Amino acid sequence: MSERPVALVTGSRTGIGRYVAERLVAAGYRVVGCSRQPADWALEGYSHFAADVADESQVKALLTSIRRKYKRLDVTFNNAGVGSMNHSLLMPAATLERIMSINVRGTFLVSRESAKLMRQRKWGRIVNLSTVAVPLSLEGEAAYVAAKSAVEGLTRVMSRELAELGITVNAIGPGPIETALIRNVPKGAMQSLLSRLPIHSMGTPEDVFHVLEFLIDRKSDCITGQVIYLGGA
Amino acid sequence: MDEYSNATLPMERHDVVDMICQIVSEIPGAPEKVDETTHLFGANGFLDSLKLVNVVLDAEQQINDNYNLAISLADDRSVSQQRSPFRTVASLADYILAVAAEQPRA
Repeated sequence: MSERPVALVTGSRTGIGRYVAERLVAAGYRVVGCSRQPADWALEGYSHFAADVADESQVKALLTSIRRKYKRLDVTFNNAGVGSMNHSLLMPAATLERIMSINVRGTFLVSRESAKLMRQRKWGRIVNLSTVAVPLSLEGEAAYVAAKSAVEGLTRVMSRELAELGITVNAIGPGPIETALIRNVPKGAMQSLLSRLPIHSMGTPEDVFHVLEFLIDRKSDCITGQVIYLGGA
Repeated sequence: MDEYSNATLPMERHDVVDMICQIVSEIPGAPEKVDETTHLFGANGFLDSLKLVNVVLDAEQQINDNYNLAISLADDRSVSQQRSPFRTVASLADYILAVAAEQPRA
């Protein structure tokens, strides 16, 4: 029997990240998760690191730990992210910097260090998290849309750079999902967003996992540089 | 040549040269004999950009494992230097020693 594959899920303490981590464990992966805070849950086959994805030395330490313990990395899901609903004229610069740092710098650092490990087996899957707010140019989400647009740019360029190393890079852009990220978004704003999508209902973490499962499948070797939006955006 | 103290292993130039030679000799297309004078990247070098990436990353990883140092060799400085540190085995070894001397332990 072949060795069980290894997956890294960032932002795995809650929400989509936790759901995906649990599903990957159930699918036979050895899963490493991380978040800035320690996890308040545990699962056999899952280990958690307290690490800030925007901190280069912490990301390097996390990936060094995975390399030394497992000697491989098959899948990285860059789920960690933050948003802030605010009109651009009322957006403090510090908020913009925080959103860019976690979403863009975090995705970049984790992808870069993951690819260094994945290249050793000439195989890997990096999946980033974007949002339907990008194609919708959603009002009130200027910083978040700017950050996720950058994540999509990273996805496309890195897919080209890493193809020769056997690594695919794709992104999933879900619509609104009931998680901590959107807990404070007014109901009216959420309805307005949903009304602009062909499918008007909220998404679920399972919707995201379904696409992730497809992208990390061994048969998806030729799918790279793509952003798959949910809800029809 | 300078030595850089480590609780477990000092970084000595001849060890770094040996490490690079070992990494380089395993790259497809490497010359039969690899030594300090072997040209790597640029004029007369046999590495294309992807092979150079692999050499640099393998070197970073072995330094991390052997010396507990998390160094980045491909930074803005190395890319913008007029005389690339990736020209030869010797220039890469000297560059590694210089970068390592500036780094805190991992």
